[in-house]
Amino acid sequence: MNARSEPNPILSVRNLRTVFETGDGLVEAVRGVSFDLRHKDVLGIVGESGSGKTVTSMSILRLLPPNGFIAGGEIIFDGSDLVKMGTRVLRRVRGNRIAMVFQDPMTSLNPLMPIGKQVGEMIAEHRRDMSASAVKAEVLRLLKLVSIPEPDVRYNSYPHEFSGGMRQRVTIAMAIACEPDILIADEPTTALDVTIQEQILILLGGLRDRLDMSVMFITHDLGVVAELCTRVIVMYGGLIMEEGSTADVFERPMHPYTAGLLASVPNLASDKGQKLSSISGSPPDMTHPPTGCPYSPRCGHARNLCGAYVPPMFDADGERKSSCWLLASEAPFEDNPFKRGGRDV
Amino acid sequence: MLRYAIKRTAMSILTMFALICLTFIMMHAIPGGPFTSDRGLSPSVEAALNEKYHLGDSVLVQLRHYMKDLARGDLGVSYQYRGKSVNDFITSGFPVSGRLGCAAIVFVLLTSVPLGVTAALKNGRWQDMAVMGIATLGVTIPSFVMATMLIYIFSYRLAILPTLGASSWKGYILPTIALGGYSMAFLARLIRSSLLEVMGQDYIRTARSKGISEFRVVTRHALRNALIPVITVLGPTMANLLTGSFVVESIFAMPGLGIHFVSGISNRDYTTIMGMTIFYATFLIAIVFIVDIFYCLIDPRIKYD
Repeated sequence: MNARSEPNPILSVRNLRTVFETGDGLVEAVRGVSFDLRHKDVLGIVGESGSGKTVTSMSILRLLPPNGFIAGGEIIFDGSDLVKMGTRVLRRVRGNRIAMVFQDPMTSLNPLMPIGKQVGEMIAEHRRDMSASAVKAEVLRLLKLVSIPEPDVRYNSYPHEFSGGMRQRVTIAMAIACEPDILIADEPTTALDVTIQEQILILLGGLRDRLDMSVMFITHDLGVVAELCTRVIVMYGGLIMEEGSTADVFERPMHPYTAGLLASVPNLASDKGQKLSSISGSPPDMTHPPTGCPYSPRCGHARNLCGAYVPPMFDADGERKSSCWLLASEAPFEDNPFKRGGRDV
Repeated sequence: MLRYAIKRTAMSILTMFALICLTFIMMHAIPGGPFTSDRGLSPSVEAALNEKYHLGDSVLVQLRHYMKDLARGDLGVSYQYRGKSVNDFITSGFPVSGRLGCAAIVFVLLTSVPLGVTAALKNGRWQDMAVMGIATLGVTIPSFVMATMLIYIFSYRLAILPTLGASSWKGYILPTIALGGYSMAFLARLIRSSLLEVMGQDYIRTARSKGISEFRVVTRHALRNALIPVITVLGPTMANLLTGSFVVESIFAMPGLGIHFVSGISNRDYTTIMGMTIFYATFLIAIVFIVDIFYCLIDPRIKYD
């Protein structure tokens, strides 16, 4: 099946460019990103710090800091462009149809407001016909749904009285309060310890099935992607490197960067004493992004062409996309991991 | 909370005690006394006066006497003004200073909060520049210059407000502005920077992601958080405004407390100095105490136990 024939992706990002004004001039953090989020998909966006993954997610609901702005592109949701939408209309989308869970549960809740009120505020905003007592009852139901013990007691507790994991449950309860179509989770487990991470992932997976949501999951953790996501986008230097179903991307990466990332995941089954592999070099300085493929300075396969021109997005079979010159039809077979053994694309 | 209140009260009493002792001893260490000087008293009269007020005794003995009187609420008689007690000064002066102070507090709060909030929300735009301009002027112009300017403009040129006196409410307008000008500017700057910092916090982004209006984001989520550092300086500021400013009161010829403070020191009017110090300190300690209690109410993270 060709992805292009998918009738209605629930969210379509087209050629998104997001720019920040900094002391060193304009920095383009997202440099033309296009992807679709399909109904009930869990789309993982992976990349290291500075790859533009968080900025991409913040651009969708236009929650960028004051020095950041969307310089171009479209974000089509339900037939309208969120980039051009008026603030009042956008407010009806925020929280109500697209909700977010943020990275650090320690700082993403208002320290001076009881958590019950913070969850209730979301419902009261978008369900104007609900009475105060109905809102409260709904908050208690949600707190129970995300497994917060003794919801009626905890309703009046303040964020500092919760552990990190419990706070993240509160922010999740808040995000799902209006049963949004899309949940954007920006590294929701990064600030938590591993056992709590697992619980939060199970909770999110369960909620997706229950509430019929599509999820965008931003993370740098490949393990999390493998566990939760149906599709994955790999970002680097403000560009998408590769996109595909999680199984495909993990089993046969079609971009040297993805291959490098996967190789650097430690394997418990490997020999003791074996050195952890890593990608040499460091991510590009986005104040002066490389002219060509942003990964080319670190890429073992890089040629002159790579440093000069950004490769286009090569469509492998519709489901798979990769932005690497090695996939060009003119690319040589020699020393080309993506053209060996009859796997010519 | 009650335990905390009791502990704080005990601490306050200790602080007061230390303050009284220190002031008393330092005051007596200043050369000269209330009756020495150029007032043309013959040495025998001066000796008799010193004898009458026990000024010949050692400082510690005098301090003991003073404490005894103080325990009965008696701040002593003024050495300077015949037949006036320090308690009289306070009962006649404080209403004027208090009214002026309250007016100044209201003025400061009503102006600094909107100014600071506007500046923060319009960060970098002309509104911000304008507020910061006013605030910089307010912080740098001394109150006596401000007072003179106000009198020149409103009393002399426009002739719409009286130059002096506390006889009608109109007489309070210019002194209020002159007295509150500095605090207004200072608080506006503080509110601006505090709100700017809060607006960059993660929970403000969370609030925005809920789809609530920007007005609600500011009033329900940002302002309360931004006011915490403001409350800290609000205590001492209020005590300052309430206990009066000698400069502003004397320029506008208002019979407040401030004048007693200054003339008391230059005349070595020991009882007046002590009385004013104690009154001012009590006020300050009480207000700081109230502010600390207020913290608890506004910020659930602060617990005093």
